[in-house]
Amino acid sequence: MTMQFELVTPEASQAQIEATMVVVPGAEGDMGVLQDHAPTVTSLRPGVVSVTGSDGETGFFVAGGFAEITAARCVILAESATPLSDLTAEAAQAAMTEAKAALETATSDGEKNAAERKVAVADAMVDAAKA
Amino acid sequence: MASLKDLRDRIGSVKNTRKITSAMKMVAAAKLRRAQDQAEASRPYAERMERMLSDLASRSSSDLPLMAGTGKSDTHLIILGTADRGLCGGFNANLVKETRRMTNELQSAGKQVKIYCIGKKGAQALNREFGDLIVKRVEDLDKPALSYSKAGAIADDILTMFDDGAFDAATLIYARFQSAIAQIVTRQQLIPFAVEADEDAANVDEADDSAYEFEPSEDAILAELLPRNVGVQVFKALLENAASEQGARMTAMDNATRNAGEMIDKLTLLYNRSRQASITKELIEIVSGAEAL
Repeated sequence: MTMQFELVTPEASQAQIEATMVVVPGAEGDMGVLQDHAPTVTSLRPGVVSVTGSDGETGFFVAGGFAEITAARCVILAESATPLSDLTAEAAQAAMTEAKAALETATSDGEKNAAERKVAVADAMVDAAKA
Repeated sequence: MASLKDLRDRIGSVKNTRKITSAMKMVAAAKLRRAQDQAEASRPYAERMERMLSDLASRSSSDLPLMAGTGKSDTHLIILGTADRGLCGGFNANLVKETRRMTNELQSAGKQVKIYCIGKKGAQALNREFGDLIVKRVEDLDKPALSYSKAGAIADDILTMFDDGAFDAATLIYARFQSAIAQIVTRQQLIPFAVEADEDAANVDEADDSAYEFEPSEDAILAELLPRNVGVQVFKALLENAASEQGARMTAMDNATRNAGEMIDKLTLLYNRSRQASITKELIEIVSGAEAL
């Protein structure tokens, strides 16, 4: 009872795992995906994608993106993905400081929106690093 | 006529030039391979994105500005991608020429033009003519390596400008890599998003995607997908450009190496002839000197 899990970023295909279950941080709440899921496309909020495969659970932090789910596969399109094991609290904190600084210096509406997005990503990153 | 010593020095210097150009050619070949690998690795993401996007775009009647435009087309942004360095044949010149042509076209149609320069060479070449149109210059993207986050930062910058109403339409100009000999200068409309007609519908294995459910909603996903697509397109263009640049440099340096070789042959021939001539002259002098006695 497995399906093909794939994590694709613009630079490379980061992971391909035979998974029994995948939990994705959907825009409207976390979503557990098993085999034979109804075909779904969902956007992701920044958070942790966790994959249960034959060799245990693997987690990836994604800064938003999309999940394309069919009966036999679950494909995550993410702009950037970091394995949880590589994510440190210091790096997350640094991202947070940087994002907040960007928000403070933002002048136009467009810049503000971009900075607010960054803060949200950094916030989720800090949470993920703690867990 | 040049003396024998002059000729000898000349041959030596051309030989050095040949060494340099052939080294540059080999470096370019190695970099080209790396650039191609990078382009290859980025393909799955771009393809999936494109499929999702064109699927959504065809069924949605959304009037998002990124999709439908701002309703006017007064100001155009030209995003020009060039190399940071020269010595790559006509690569930079061709891109700049296309930009100049497009700017003139738009200006004669009474539109405003802004230019976003990625790469040192484009900005340098356009500076004199269109310096006041250049809104931004980005340089040294490939130091130490081209990455998606750099392309994403450019895309964010462009989107921020778009949100602030700085332009109505954006076009990317870059060189599509075909082979080391041929790079095709391409104009690609970036904003508003153009649904491509030549969808290569080769992905038959997932032909059932009309049955997808969308969460939260089709329009919400589209609204998120469109800005990301800008990043992906910019990244794709930069990767193509990087491969094209190295390909063009490889070809140019190959030619230069060959020309240097030909020049060395010619100079060597000339050198041997003059040496022979001077020996003959000395002999004649000795012989006629002996006869005079």
